[in-house]
Amino acid sequence: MTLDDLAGEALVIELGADDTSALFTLAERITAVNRAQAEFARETLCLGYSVLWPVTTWFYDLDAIFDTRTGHLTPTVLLLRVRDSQGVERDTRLEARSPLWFDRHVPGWRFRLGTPDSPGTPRAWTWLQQTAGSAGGVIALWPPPAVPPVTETWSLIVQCAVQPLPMTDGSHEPFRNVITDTASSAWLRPYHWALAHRAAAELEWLRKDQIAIERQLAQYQGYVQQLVAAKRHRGGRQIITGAREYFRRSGDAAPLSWGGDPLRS
Amino acid sequence: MEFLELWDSEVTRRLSSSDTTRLFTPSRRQAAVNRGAMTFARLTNCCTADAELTDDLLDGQAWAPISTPDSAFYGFSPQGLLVRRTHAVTGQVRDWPLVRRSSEFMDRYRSGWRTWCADPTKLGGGMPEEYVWWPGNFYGLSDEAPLTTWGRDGIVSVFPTPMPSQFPNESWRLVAVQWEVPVTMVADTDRPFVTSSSPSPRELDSYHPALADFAVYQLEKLRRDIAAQDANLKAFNEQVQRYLQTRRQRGGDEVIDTLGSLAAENVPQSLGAFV
Repeated sequence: MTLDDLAGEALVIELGADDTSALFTLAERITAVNRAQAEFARETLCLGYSVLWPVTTWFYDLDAIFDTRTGHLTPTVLLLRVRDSQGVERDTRLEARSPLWFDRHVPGWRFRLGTPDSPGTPRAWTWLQQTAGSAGGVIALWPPPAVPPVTETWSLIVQCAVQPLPMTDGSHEPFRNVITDTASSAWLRPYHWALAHRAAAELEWLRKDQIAIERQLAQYQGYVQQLVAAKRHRGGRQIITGAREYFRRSGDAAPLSWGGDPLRS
Repeated sequence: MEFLELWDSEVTRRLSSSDTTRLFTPSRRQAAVNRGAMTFARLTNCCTADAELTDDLLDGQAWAPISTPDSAFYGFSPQGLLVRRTHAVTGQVRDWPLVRRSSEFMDRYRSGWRTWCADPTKLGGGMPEEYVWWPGNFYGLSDEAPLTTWGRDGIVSVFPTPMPSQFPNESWRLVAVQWEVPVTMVADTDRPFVTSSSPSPRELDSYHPALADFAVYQLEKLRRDIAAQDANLKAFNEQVQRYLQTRRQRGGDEVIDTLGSLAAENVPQSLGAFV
């Protein structure tokens, strides 16, 4: 569906009104559809982007990494790419941990100035969402990266969920990646009508029709839930991670056992 | 049923209205029926098609973009991804199924699986056994491949890295058994649920009236008749459930696929959770 389809016929049907001059003007409709698109992408994290970034320190400002490519939302995955002198690249996923987890298990990690001791190969990362001076937030690696061997180059692959590009032309389809600006994602086409439901809910406020708002939002949520479920792996393909893993003895070969780390008491 | 019968007589009977000039114009009726077909397919995943994702694989070619310009793709069926093996001497063609994994699973249990190199001789590999699908361009780096061919519908990665040269006289291609949005019906004689690789399945004939139910649910919004909307949506949802029930296999080889039922569980059905 295009913007014309969504702001036009789809909303005529969902609102049961073809008014385009009094309450439901075309501008109102387009704004509501674009807002619905942004909300859908935020709830489902359906669009993403990756940036390759050199490893130089132990914390990184996402605003600097994404630079002028605005529209990034939540960092989802961080990978450490090690490239050897043969040109072979090995990507290793770093474990994501919350700042609270670090506070509990890695005492002394909150350096405000300078670099922590005991560098090594990074194995975990965290995201500080609200940080002074950065709208995108800051990601921190742990252990702090050591100087790599001369035969290796280390980089980070930062995967981030991103916003869709707002639709401005009638022929635009929803869900164009705001950074790559490729064509609309075909795999999301079955979900386009969700935007009509969300936009209709938004516009129904103008009529103060609370029941209609609830009906539209319920239908919109049906789409969101289905897409989230569709992205999820079921049964034996899914990993169940228990809290027990967090408390493995030091010296274990587990990804986050800080064997020999002097910061771990 | 053919398209004309669906949008004309079936919809007229359910609407109790032969209006084709004011609210229920032919174009609205047709669009509503087509949307019914798409919604039925989305909730039941009844439209599957085979689609070749690659030409003959080269050694070390572990990635493939899913994008095609007019793709109807919206997900992998449980049959997922196959390696189509063609033997040049015997002429045999065999499909080798791969197991779908999440990237989290691979990172934990397939150490070193994210290894890439332009020179395939530096990589280990052989016959692929597993695959991962990244929707939404999460792993596409702009400096690794041109954006025009990369990332619109995500990419698939197979593991172990394919090495067709280790299998004499064989050529390999990746084939997706994918869910598709059904082809939009235009002509009066068109039938529902046509995909890019198959005609309308006879098995689905008995579900064609559900499209009229859904269309009327849509069109009743123009009259703001909530009771009629709910009645038609209920009829549609019953057909969806009937289809899902008939597709459920008993026994140990059941493939659990909860897309449709999850949508039903999470939102009150009385509010039209399915659409």
